[in-house]
Amino acid sequence: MVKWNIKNLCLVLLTLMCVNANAELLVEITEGVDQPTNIAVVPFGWNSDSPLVEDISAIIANDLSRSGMFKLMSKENMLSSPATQDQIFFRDWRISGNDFMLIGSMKPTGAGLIATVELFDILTEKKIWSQTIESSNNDLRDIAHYIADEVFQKITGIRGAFSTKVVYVTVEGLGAARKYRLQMADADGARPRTILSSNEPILSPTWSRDGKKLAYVSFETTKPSIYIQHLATGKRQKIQSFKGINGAPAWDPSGNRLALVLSKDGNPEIYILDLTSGNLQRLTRHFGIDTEPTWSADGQSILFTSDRAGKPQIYRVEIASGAITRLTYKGNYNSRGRITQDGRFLTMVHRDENGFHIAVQDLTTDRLDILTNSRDDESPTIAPNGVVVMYATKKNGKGVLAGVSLDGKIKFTMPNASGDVREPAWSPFLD
Amino acid sequence: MSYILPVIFAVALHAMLAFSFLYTQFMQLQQSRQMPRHIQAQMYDIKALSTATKKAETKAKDVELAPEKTPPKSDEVEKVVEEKKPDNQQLKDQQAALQEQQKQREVEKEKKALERKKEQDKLKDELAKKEADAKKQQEIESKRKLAAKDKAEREKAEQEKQRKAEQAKKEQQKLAAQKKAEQDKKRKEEQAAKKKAADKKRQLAEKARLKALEKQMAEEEQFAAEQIAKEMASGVDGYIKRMLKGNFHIPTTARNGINAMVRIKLLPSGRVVAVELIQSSGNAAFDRAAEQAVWRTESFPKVADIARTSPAYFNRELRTFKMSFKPEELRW
Repeated sequence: MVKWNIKNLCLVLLTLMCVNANAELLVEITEGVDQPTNIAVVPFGWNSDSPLVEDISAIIANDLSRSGMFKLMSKENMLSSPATQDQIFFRDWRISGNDFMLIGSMKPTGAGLIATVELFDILTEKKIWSQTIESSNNDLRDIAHYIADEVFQKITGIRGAFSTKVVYVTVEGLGAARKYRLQMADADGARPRTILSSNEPILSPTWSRDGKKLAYVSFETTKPSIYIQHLATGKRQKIQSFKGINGAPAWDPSGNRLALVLSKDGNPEIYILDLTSGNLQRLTRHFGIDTEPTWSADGQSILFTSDRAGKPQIYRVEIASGAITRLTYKGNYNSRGRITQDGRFLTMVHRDENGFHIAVQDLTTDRLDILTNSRDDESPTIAPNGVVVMYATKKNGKGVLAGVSLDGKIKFTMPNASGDVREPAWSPFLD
Repeated sequence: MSYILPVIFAVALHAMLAFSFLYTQFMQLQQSRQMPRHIQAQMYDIKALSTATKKAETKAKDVELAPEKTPPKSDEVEKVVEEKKPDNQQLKDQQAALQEQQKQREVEKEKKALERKKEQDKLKDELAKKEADAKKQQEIESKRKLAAKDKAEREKAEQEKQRKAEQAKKEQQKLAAQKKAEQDKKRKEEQAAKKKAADKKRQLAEKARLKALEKQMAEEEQFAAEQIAKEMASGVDGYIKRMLKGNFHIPTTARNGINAMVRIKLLPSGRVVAVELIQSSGNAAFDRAAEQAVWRTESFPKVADIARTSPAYFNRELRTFKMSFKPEELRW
């Protein structure tokens, strides 16, 4: 009897559980809104009378904002400026529509300063991240970018690229006074410094994957030649030159080879130059122009622009087999392809009836999205985390650098550098 | 065992007391034996003096003295008296009279002596008797004492025994009383319990009946409420979707086919109390966006309405449920 009871009970329970499990309501949320994450970067407390040379919280806010993934609460709208957790009234911050908030305080030390930052999830009122950073006084921007990287990673799960660099070419002056400069700046355009200046054109700067070297084309000898420059030492090295065009260098992932365009055999073709052995490997054979090579992330193939179909389109060539596939079909002009590290997205210059724009193509679906509506956009370069595309464009007749998030939601213009700015190249992660 | 020594001491003490008593008695006896002779002698002399002539007063005095000392002296007096006899008839008469007197006196004396002896014997007897009596008395006394002692002891023992017996009895009585009380109590308790049980049973039965009735009513009510709640909940799915839509901020890194599942817990007030990620999308930002969409929504008033209508339905269907976040028509 008892046994039967237990058995029965078990059965009933089991049945109930099954019923429950089956019956649990499942609501499918298929719609949402494209809205960036709302975050408040509260101005950091500074425990000293001497003013800081940089506004760290403003730099962080700018970084996050430029990723296109965050919407920053303006400082003016903040009701309070908590510097520690116990000073936070989460309700207030929640009402003001924020999802996250970053607070911090800094105090000077003998050599520099100590910054303590804390990141909170306002909706759950939980601390997500906190860190105390010790630093010397003259690298406040490095601290700011570092914090922005951390916050970005903690919230999006994607590695932040705010501590990376960008190189670009500026052109100043007219006629004989014309000056070309190869410059390097923070990813936000701040702290530019000149790496090379020349009276002759400088073109196509490109980073080695380790971030230690640059390759570029310089006309300093009046003929285009490819140079490799070591950033740490400033040491330059001209690589083997060929007749005709020597252009558009691109470093392979290993750093041992350069893809480049040579016209030594008649018309521009894609070659691979082994930097240690000096061996040259020809990849393309076509009467059309093949140019602007770029390596895929795995180093197995090279993407390039070719007008072999009449109009410039982007193709992929398998290095091992030499097999070529056309990647772009939409529009009659697609050039200067750059591919994200995950190999999924291809950015390019796309021309439509309104001019040249930056576009992105999902290589899995071949969907093409035009990201910019300006008309003279060129030279897209993708942040190493694939979040933002930087490109050169014209503003009031002057070449400037601008950026657009890969989803096109946010666009920004880099701070004005002197002269025309062109051909940006985003560095890899610099560890 | 410990009583032996005191008993010995007591016996010794008694013995000593008895001895001292006997001794003093004996001494008294010796004294009393001498005393009556003096008294007799005096008595005798006074009588002799009163009966004797004034002439013989001196002699009588001698006589008086004589018997006082020794009997031979009285013999001397007789001799003297006999020597005087031949003096005269008168004298003779006198002598005869004297003799008679003397004889008489002698008889008397004898008589007296006899008497005295008798008396003495009697005294002796008496003394002996007394002594014997005393002895007897003493014996009796000692016996009595012993007996008394014995008796006392016996009594004491008896008393003790009695006391013990009484105590035992008392205890027994007490125990018995206790036992009885306990039994009574137990019985009473049993009775009370029985009564209580019976009452309870009755009450329970009544309660059960009422409960069953109530249950039936409640079930009917609940069923009705649940029917209403069910109807109310028929669109809850869409309602929740609509509530979530504006709060689900899809991160740009979300790709088509992405899917995260969370389980949420609501209070009957419709308020969100827990959000648990039960299936990650592999994209941290997307997972967080899903959780935050629920937190941002905060509460579902319509669910609160349903909970008010039928708590059972709420508990079963809507207290916890799952949400699957799979945005459609993403760019990529």
